[in-house]
Amino acid sequence: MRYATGTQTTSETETETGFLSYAGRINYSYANKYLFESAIRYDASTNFAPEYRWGLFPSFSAGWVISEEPFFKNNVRGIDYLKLRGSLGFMGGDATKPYNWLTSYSIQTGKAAVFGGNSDRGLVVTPNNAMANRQARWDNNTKYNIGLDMQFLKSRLSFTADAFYDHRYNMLTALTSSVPLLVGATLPSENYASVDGFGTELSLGWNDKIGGDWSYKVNTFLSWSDNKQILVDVNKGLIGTYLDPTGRSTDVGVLGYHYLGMFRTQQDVDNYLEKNPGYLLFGAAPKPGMLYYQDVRGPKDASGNYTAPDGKITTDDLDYLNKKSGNHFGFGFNFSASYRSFSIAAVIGGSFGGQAMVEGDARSQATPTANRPQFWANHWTPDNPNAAYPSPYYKDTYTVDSEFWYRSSTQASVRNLNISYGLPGRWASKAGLSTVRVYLVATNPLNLYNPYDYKAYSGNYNTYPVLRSFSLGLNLGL
Amino acid sequence: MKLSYKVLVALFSTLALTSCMEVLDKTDLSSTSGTLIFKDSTLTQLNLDYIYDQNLPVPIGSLGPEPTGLSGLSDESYADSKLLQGSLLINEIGDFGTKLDATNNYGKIRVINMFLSDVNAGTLPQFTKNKLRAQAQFFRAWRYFDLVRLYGGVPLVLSPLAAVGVEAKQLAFLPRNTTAECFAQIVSDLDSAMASVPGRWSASTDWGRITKGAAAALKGRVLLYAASPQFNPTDDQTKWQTAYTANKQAYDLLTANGFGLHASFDQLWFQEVNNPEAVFITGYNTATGDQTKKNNGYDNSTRPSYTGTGGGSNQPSWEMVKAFPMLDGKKAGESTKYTYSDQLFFKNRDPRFDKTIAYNGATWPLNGNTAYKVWTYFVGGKTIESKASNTGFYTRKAINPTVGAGDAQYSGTDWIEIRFAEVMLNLAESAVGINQLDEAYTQLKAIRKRAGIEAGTDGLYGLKANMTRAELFDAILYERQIEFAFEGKRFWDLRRWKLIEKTLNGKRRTGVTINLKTTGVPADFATTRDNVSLDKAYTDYFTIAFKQLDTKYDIAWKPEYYFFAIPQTAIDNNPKLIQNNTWGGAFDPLK
Repeated sequence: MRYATGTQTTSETETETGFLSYAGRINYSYANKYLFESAIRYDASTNFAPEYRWGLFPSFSAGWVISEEPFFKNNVRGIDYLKLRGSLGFMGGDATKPYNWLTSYSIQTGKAAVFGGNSDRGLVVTPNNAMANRQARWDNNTKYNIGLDMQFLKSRLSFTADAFYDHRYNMLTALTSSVPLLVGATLPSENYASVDGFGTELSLGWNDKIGGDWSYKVNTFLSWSDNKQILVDVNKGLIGTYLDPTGRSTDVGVLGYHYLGMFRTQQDVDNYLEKNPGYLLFGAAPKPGMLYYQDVRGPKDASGNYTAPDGKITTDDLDYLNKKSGNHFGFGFNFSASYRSFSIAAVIGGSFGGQAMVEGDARSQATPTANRPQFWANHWTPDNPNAAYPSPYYKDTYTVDSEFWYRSSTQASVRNLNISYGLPGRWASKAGLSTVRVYLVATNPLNLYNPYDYKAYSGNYNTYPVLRSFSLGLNLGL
Repeated sequence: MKLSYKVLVALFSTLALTSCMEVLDKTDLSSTSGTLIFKDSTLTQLNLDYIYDQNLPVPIGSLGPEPTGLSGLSDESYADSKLLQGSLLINEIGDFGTKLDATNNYGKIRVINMFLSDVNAGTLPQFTKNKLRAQAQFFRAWRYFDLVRLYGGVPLVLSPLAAVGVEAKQLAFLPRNTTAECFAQIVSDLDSAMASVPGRWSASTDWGRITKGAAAALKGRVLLYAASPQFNPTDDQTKWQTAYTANKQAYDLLTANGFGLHASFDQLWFQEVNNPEAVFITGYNTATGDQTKKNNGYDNSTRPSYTGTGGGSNQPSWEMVKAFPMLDGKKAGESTKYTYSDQLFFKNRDPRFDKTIAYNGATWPLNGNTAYKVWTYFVGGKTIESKASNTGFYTRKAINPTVGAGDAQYSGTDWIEIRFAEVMLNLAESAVGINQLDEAYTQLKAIRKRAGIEAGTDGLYGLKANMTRAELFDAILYERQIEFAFEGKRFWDLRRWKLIEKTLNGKRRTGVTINLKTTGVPADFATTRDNVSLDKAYTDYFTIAFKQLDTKYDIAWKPEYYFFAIPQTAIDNNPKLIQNNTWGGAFDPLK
């Protein structure tokens, strides 16, 4: 139900783009021992000007099944399968806005000024793409991958190791930071940035049968990935400062304030001010009930270098508080088993290695129309000086990122559970059916580890949560 | 190897199929090229209408990190603001822009610059080109003035900067121009505008477009700022002279084209086309469709919440209420003819008082009810309003009395950014600057006459005779405080006169709570109150209690706020920008 009044209008837009691709592949295998594959693509995209439209993308992969070699077969016991493989690809993308290469204007509604009393808004012509880059072309992504596949114990135990390294360069980037804001337009994509991505994954699996009725399968994996930025769009004035991302990962930790404590009483404030005269928190004098932070730097001087700590907490005192903010390690545990026509399967996943924080909405002051999580009940007041949370009044001083809001980022949950049972054929046929199968599918049935006590791991406390759903089904075959 | 040979043959034969190339024969359906636009005056005008919409001012305006409406940054009303707390940080006046953005000040300037060069490169007749470009130049001046009064000199970008490729980007790192260069550029743009726009547009559908008078009036305002203590601490007479010449020209141009004072101080807001007082306006309409409407939010947000759908902004402080003169033009408490008392604060005031302030018991036709009286008193500690006014008062200036509660949100009342009265007072002020004191008296008397103040036996409308230069400056600033109350002018006036510390520092603004007495009040007061005389009601039934509106701190504006800091994030983006000398840099905004 919509309560808004007034006239509703709908609009429709039409766009067209073109993408043409030729692809070919050669496969070669010799005695299932030496494997070779080469693929080639020749692509054209209307995202680029006609003279820069085409890109050629070859890729190669090779494998060597060592376990097929006579010297291996005859000499090594206990390894049923051993394969070494590697690949190399010269790929590219056209990730830029359509017609990036043309300066254009568009005719729009709802953006005109009103003239002549109370007349309706008319049409306007606005710069649609204020600046064009005719030279933009396919970006480059050189992908390297090596892997090892092994099987043991009558192929019941399998092990896989993979490592990848992606060198991306000439990446289509709409520059913002390295461009003076005086330009005043959204820039077109240019072939600019360069980022190397890398990671590994190990997995281990076991599958077996017990007698004729039982079979089961277990598979686990552990993965890690990170990257390094080689050439980045960065503000000129930040080059060489702690905020310069060049040569570092896109994740260099949580940017925030070093949390020192909470002023519990006026006495605390006075003691602190005695040692740190003139201490200000974001322009405000310290008061009981405020969180306070470490002074790291003073404002920049005229030549753009940070000065010594000045006793005032401002954005100059931000710092990277730890090594990583995101979870770079992932793990999984998949399990399935069946007994005759009964089967059960579960997917369990998790990640760790980063640093999570209470989300911004949950940190901020409540409003007449927005509630806050229950933990705020224990906030500072003159009568409750030892509260766990600060006085909600001084919102500028506690809503910022700091160690105060840290929560563990480790999480693990059962993502999926599937149970099914097929009725024996003779029962089904009595009902005149060929098959009868009952099944239960559960999505997100169980949180194994959740560092938050007021919300599910993913999403904010005040948004629609990730659903836990159970569906029960009946499958009849006639 | 036989297999791969076949594949290769297949691959290359497909490549030869040229008919596939049609796939790539696409056009950008949602846009059109500039060459088609700028050969047609109607289409070109549509681009100009976009520039109008992007740059026309909003009612009152706002400033600061929150940001706070300008009424609350002065003694007119109340708001909590880091500017008044004195805790403003270096990044917090972000109007300069803090990053590349197509919609901030420099984004808007780029659209104007593109328009200026596109029209030039187009094929329209020169006369049409000039007329269209002149209007865009007016808005470029408007944008730069907006920046200069905040920061002092800023980089002047006068053509669309190229930025694709390393070399072009390097060339776009421009330093700040001096304040004097900026003022000169603003004046030059306004002179061009004046030369090519009409003094009055012949078609009524063009009402609201820039006229010669509007450009001249803005030039007068700009040069008055340049002559004011903020930019002219040494009281340089030549700056006052330039300001005087510009304002005199504006006054003459406007009167020659039929502009002048509107007959009515309150009705001037509701006449749109051909309103003589409306020199520079932002047009609004009463449409409700989301693509056709452009409604004035001021009305709905200012009226009492229960007479519209929002409400309660811009509530007058007691300081504002008390500032109005008495009916004879003398200040409250100074008039011998009309004695003033806080208990009967509404009695015998300057007629502008009743047209600006809505107070407890005031007759205020709203929602089409001509007999409507607004009541804001408290009974037993509880307000009788559905939502109480914080200060005890409401602003009634430019609030349309005829619209229903549900339609207040679709107010079409045009916002008058420059009224003819401002041109008069700008002229008066610059005349005082060059010691032409009689000119100031002439303008002040005309303003007060229109207001309805008694002329008095000396014909001076309550003005003190033979005022000195300093006294007249004060008198003009005071007249502006009253005449332009809640028009977003007071904060800028105090700032350009560097009077914020003197006016506000160390103080807390005041509101009132009007309580109904517990004894001696008729039991049926709630139903009969509209018929009780206000004098009797205030004398016998009400008590007035004062309260502080600034609950957290004494106001502590700082002298470095007379020129705000260029945000450090902007300097990080462009290290060629030098910070103001009041904020640790080497840039002197007075040069």
